[in-house]
Amino acid sequence: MPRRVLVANRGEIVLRIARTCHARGLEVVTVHSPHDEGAPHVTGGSRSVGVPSYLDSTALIDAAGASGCDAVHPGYGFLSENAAFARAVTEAGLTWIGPPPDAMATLGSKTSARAHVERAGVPVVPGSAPGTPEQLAGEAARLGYPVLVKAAGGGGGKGMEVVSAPADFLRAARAAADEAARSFADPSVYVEKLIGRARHVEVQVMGDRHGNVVALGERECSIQRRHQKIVEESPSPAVDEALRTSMGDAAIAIARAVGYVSAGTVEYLLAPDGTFYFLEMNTRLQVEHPVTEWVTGLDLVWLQLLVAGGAELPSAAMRPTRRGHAIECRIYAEDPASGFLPQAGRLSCVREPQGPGVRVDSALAEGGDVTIHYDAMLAKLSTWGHDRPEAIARMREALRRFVILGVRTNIDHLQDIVAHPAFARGELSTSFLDDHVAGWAPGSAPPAVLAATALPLATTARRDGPGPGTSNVRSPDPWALLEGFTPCAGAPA
Amino acid sequence: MTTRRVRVGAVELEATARLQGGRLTLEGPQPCAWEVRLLRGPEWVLVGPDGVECLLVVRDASGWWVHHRGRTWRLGLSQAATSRAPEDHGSLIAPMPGKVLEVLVHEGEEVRAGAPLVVLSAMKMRIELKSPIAGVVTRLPHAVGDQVDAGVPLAHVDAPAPGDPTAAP
Repeated sequence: MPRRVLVANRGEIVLRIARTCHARGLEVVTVHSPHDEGAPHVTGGSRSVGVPSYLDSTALIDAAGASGCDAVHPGYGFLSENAAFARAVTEAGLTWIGPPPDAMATLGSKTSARAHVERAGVPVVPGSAPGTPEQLAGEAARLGYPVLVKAAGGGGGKGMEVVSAPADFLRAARAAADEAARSFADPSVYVEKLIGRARHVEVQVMGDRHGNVVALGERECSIQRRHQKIVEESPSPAVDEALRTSMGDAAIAIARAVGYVSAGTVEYLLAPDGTFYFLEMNTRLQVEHPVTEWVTGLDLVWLQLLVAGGAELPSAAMRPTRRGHAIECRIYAEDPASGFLPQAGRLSCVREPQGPGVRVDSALAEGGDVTIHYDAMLAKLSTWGHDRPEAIARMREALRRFVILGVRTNIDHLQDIVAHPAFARGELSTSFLDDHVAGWAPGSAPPAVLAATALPLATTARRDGPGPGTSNVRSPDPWALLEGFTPCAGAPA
Repeated sequence: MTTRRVRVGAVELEATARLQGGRLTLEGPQPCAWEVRLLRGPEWVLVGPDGVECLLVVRDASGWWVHHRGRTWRLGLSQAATSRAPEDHGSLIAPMPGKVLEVLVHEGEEVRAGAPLVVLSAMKMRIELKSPIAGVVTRLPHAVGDQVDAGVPLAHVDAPAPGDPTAAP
């Protein structure tokens, strides 16, 4: 079992991993880039080491060595699916908290994964081998439009473009290759046929070094914008026991065939006719893992730590049970009324919801800045209920109580998604937003909101100005404060 | 009584309101009055005809952020929008700081409204910025690789003269 873990990541996932480590008596060391010196995750461990970038594998391994760590947890994104990094960690004598590098290499490239999965007898979406945009134009024509251009070496919706006509193909494919090169240091792309009105359903798997591989149920992540999930749930309203078993068995077969260890996710497209196709396997802990934790009662990070230390999966994981229903909403700094454009700014007021069946995974600090340097995800809000309607009701209330001021977010947009009758009926597909919430705009402001313009408020401190003076102003006599107080000030970042 | 022109989403309106003696009043098409009961940090508790209303309010240089009954409102001071000279109509403004990744047009090129002009890289994303109007590209002040701040003009498009055949939609 590792004793001191370097978390090679930033933001909420660092705090999430640290929570489990600390609960089990393991020490945590965090890292931070020059942009993140004041970020909340920096204080998540017993010390934090500066690195030039979260993609600098040498600096990360040096940081682990210098701080006396014996293991590295990569989180998600950045180098989490980079087999070369996993190998370098192992060669430095550190424990890699993730799958074996060879399994990552086979499954990590979407195209070699497709070949591997076809051999294992699981259907895949018709697609091509990787190539240059010029080479792929012919493949796209063979598959028939519309097609998706995808990065061979990545995920998370980065480096992905929908192309509906041949005339648009080259420009879109080049854009995808550029983005893939920037995000994953690998410009290779491939094309895949676009299956319309499909659902995105994925199976969580977990393996140990003793040959055990289990499926921990599915998550439905159909609601997406920019090919990035924003609402996820478990179980899927479209999956019955028979389908759950066949999707789970296929996922186990795929993982077993490469000697998979640790947490992984097998993603499928579920067509309207009930056929499922393998999409890709993510060889890491997934952003949306909390919904699986809610319904199984398992701590997936703890299972990762256990199996990394060579232990067998505990019986709770070997014979998983499912209880109730969980939903997760991803909260982003973005403007849903203008093409989900990412937003930057200072968080001048943050209130996170609480209550039965409510979980917030975040790394938000009042007074902190949302910068342009990283992904714009601010927080993950998840709720649990005995059944789906209860989970939805709790989600609606928790979203109402999630306050983020100072930067535009998608919280109101999420409220309208989870309150939609089609969502209540479980009628989900990857085109849900286009079908039901297209052209979203905020409504008209109620009178009390307009009247707020008459309230005496000090302007929040400028970015480079002096730090705000007071925080959490409390006074029994509000009128004493009406001149020149600073509302909702936070500590300088 | 102060009157402010604010922008809420795409809508611009006037808010005329006053706080006096613990009483907040709003004039205009939806006149209303509240008693201010409690003030705690950014939190204001109002009591009016619609019962108790809690507001979380912060102010920054360009307007107000208000959280009210589960919804968040951005009230932008609309000076920028109203005082903008008509010639700025065809300016493409950087919506956020970032790096110029691609310039897809050249000066003198005719473009339609919505044509992609410049691609910005910000927050690990590729953001395609489109022409606000149809016309001719007259200025491209930034080259590929330039770091730009929010609010900086990235391109300028002149609307075609009336009668010009390219003016047809």
